[in-house]
Amino acid sequence: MRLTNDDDTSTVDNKFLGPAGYTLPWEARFVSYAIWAGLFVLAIWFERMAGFRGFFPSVFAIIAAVGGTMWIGSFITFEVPMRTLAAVFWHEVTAPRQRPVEPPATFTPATVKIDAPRLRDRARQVARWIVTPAYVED
Amino acid sequence: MSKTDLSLQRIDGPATVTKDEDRLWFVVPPLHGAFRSVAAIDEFIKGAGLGWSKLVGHDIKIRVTSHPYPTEKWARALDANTPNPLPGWGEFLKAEQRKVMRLTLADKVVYVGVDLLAPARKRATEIREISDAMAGYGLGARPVTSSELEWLLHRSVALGAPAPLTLPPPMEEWDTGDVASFTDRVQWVPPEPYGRTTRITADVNDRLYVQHVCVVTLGRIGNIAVPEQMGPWMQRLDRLPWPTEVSMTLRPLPMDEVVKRMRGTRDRAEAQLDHYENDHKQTAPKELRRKIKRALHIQDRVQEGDQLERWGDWWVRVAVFARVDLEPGCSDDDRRRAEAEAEETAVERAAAVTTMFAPQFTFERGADQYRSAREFIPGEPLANEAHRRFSRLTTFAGAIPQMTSMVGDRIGPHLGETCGESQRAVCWDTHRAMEIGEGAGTTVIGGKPGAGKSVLVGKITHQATRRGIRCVLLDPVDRLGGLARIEAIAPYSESVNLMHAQPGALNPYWLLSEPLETHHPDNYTDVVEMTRAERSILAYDTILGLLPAKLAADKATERALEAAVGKVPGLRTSSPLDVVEALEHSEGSLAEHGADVASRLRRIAVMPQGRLIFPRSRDWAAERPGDVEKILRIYTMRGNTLPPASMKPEGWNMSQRLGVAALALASYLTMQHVVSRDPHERKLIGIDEVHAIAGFPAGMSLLTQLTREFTRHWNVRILLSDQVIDWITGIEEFIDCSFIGTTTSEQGIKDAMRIQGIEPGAGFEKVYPLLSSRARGASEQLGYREWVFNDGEGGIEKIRVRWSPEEAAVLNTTATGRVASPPPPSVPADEIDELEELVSA
Repeated sequence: MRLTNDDDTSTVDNKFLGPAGYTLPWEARFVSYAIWAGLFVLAIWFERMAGFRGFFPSVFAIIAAVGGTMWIGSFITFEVPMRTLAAVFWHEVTAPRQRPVEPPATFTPATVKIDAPRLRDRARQVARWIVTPAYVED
Repeated sequence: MSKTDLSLQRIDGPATVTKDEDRLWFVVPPLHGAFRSVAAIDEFIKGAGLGWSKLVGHDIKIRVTSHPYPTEKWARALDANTPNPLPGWGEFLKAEQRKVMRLTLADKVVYVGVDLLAPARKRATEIREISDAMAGYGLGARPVTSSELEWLLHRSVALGAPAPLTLPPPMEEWDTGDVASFTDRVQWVPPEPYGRTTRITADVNDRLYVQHVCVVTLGRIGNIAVPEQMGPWMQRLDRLPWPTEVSMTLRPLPMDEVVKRMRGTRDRAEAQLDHYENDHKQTAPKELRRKIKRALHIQDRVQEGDQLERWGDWWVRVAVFARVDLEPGCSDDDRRRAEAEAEETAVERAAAVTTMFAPQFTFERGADQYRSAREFIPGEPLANEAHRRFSRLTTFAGAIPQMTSMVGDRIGPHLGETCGESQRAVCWDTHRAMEIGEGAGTTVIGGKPGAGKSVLVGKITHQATRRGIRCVLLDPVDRLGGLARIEAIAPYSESVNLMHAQPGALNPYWLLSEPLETHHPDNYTDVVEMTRAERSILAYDTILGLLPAKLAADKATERALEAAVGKVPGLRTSSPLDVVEALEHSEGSLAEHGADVASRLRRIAVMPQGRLIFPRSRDWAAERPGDVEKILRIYTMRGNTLPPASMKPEGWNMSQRLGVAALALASYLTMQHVVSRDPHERKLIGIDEVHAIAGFPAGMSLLTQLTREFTRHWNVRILLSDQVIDWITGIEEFIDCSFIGTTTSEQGIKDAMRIQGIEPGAGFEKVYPLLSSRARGASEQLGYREWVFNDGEGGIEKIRVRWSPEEAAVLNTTATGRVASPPPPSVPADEIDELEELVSA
C-alpha cells in the first residue's frame, strides 16, 4: 500500500517581494519582517536606555536587527515555525535546573565587635564569685 | 521532579485524570509480522486507519514500551514444566540461562490513550464508541488494567531505568499522593539550556540508576510502500541492540477542519502566485502550483465521505538512553567522566536511530529535550508542535507499532534466536501443543543436504532427553548415533544398529505388540482381533513391497499373496516365512504363480537385511533389540540402502526395496516404544528419510497413524525430517509446526511455503535459498544454521540455531577430510548385483 505524506500542503512559505511593481533587492518572508520590526524596536529601546541617540545608532540598530533577523530566521523552517521556536525557547529557559549545592553554615567569631572594657569589668566581677575546687570530682 | 510539576492527578481504573483532560487507556496486543502477505498487511493498515478515523476530534497518545521478561522467570517456568529431569539438570539449566541472558525475552507493549471530550455525566456513549473503535480490526485493543497503567507510569517516569520487577499491589483508584509515590524517587534534570540530553536519576529496587535520555523526533518522510518496499516502519526500531521508548501523538482531524486548512493553503498559495506573477512579473516557484493542486485533491477526497480518506496531524518521538556506570565510592572526576560518556553514548544512539531510518525517514534531535522526554509520561502535554506531520491516517497506521517477532513459547528449552527484525530468544516446548493446545504434535524438518536437519533433530532430542522425555530416533544413515555419547546422557542412552541386530528383529508379525488389557478395558477382545488383522496387513504390505514393481502389480501376485497371508494366523509368533511356505502350497490356478513368488522371496530371505524380516528358524530371538530401560534409544541402519529422494518407487532396485522395507518396519519398531508406555508420559519420536517410508505400501498409513493418533493420544512429539517433503500430502492437517532450512529447488520452496502457510508470490520465495548463507571464500564452518520456524500458534520467524560444544562434537556431520576409522562393511556391491540377477530371473 502506497503511504503518502502531505506535509507540504499544510504550510505555504509566504514571501514579500516588495510593493506591486517595485521588486526589492532581497526576498524575505513576512515573518522575517515581523521579527525585524520587533528586533529593531528592541535595539532602539536598548540604545535609548544606554543613552545613544542620533543617526548612526539608528543605522546600527537597523543593521543589528537585520543580522538578528537572519540569525533567528535560520532556525525558522517548515518543521519549526516561528510560534514553535518561541515556545521551545521559553521551555528551555524555564526548565528546572539543578540548584547549586549550598555551602555549609560558617561562623566567624572574629568579626563580632566586642565592647571590651565593660566585659573586662564584668569578667572580674564574675571571677570573684566562682570558686574553683582544687580537684575535680568524677 | 516535584509534585507540583506532574500533570497527572489521579489514576481511575483504565483512565488517567489531569487538570485539563481525562484519558482512557487501552492495550494493543502484539502482532507477529514476518511472512505476512501483502494483502494481509494492507488490510491491517486499512483496518487501523479506519479505527483512527472513528476517533476524529480526539487527541490520541500512543506509547510503545517493552515489558522485560526476566530470564529467571523463564528458567523457573521451564523447571516447573520438567517434572522428571535427568541428573545434572541444574547445571544444564544454569548454562542455558547464561545463553538466554545475552538475548532478550522482552515483550513489546503498545498503550493507546484517547482523551474524553464529553462532560463527566455524559460519557457512557463516548466511552462505548471509543472502545468499539479501538476493538476493531487493525487495532484489536482492550481497556488497560490498573496494574498495566501502573507499569506504564513506572516506565515513563523512570525513563531508561530498569523496569521495576516488584510493584505494589494494584489499586483501582490512585490519588495525587499515590501518584507522587512514583516521582518522589526520580529526578529529572536538563543539564543546561539547549542541552543534548536530560539526566534522570531513579531509585529502583533500592538501587540508584542515573541515565541520560536523548529524544529524537520524526521529521520529513518520503512516500513509501508498505510492505512492498519496506516493512511497517516502526518495526525497524526492533533491530537496535538496546531498548527504546516511543511516544506518538495523533489528532485525526474533522472533515471541515481539513477543508478549512486546505482552503487556507490554496488561498495563501494563490496569493503568492499572484504576488510573483502579477505584482512583480516573476516566475513563481513550481511548488505553489503543486500545493494548490494537492490541496484541491485532498479537499476533494475528504469531501467524498470515504472513511479511509481522513487526514490527521501526528508527532513521533523516540527516546534512547545510556546509563552512567559508576563504581561505588568513585571520585568526582570519575563521576564526571562517566556522566560525559553516558551523554555521548546517548547522543550516538540517537544518531544511530537517524541513520537507521534514512533515507525514507528523517529524525531530528532538536531542542526542548526536557519537555520532549516528559511527553512520554501519561498525562503530560505535547512538548511542542515542531515536526508536525500531516497525512492520511493510513500513513500513520502504516507504522503498525505493535508488530513484533513472536515465535515459540516461554516454558520450553532455549532453541535459538530470531534473526529477522530483532534478536529475541526462541524457546520451544515439544509437548505444549498436545498438553495445552490439545492438538497434534508433528513437526516437519526440511531442507537440502547441509541445511542442518540432523543437528536440529539432535539438539531437540538432546534437550528432551535432559528433561527426562523418552526419545526414540530412527536414523537410517547413522548421523545421530553420537548423541548417545554425550557425557550427561550417555548412561541413559543407547544406539543400536539394526543392520547388526538378531534375525527377526524386523519381523512384521512380531513388531506389533499385544495390546494391554489395562489400556482397553471396554473392548479388549476387539482390539486383540484388530491387532492380529493389522499384523497380517503389515506382513502383506511388507512382502508386496519387496517384490519388483511389475510383479507386485500383477493381479495374480496379489491374489496368491492374499490367500497365503490369510492362512497364517496374525499372532506375534508368526513369521513371513510361514507366508512363503503357504505360497509354495498355493492351490488351483495360483499354484505356479505362488511357487514362483515364493522362490523369489526365499532368495530375499537369505540376504543380510532379509534375515531381519524373515527369521531363519522358529527359534529367532523374542527379545527386542536393545530392550533395556533407556531414556534415549537411537536405531541406526548404517549399511542400509535407500533410494534417492527424487526416485519413484517403480525405479527402485532390489536392495533399495529391501532397504525401504527395513526402514518402514523399523518405524513400527519405534512405535512400540510408545504404546508400551503410559499414554500420559511424554515421548518423542524422530524419523529421518521419511520419503522412503512414504513410498512403502504401508508407509503412508503408518505416517497417518503416527501423526493422527499417536501424537495426541500418546502424548508424542514426532519429528519428521527429510530433504524432500512432498509426502506431507495427506497428513498436512496433523502437522502443527515446521522448520524449513536452506532450500533452493523451486518445488521444494513451493512445498515449504505450503506447509508453513506462507502466501506464494509475495516475495518470500527468496528467503529460503538465502538461509544460512555464508560469505564467498569463507574459510570456516558456519557454527549455526538458520530456519524458517512456524511454531503452530501463529508465530513464524526466521531463527538461528547454534549448537553447544558437546552437541557439535557428536552431531556435526560436515566432513572435515580427516578419516578416523574405516566405515563398517555393508553388503559388497558385487554381491548385491549377483543377488539382483537371481531375484530378477
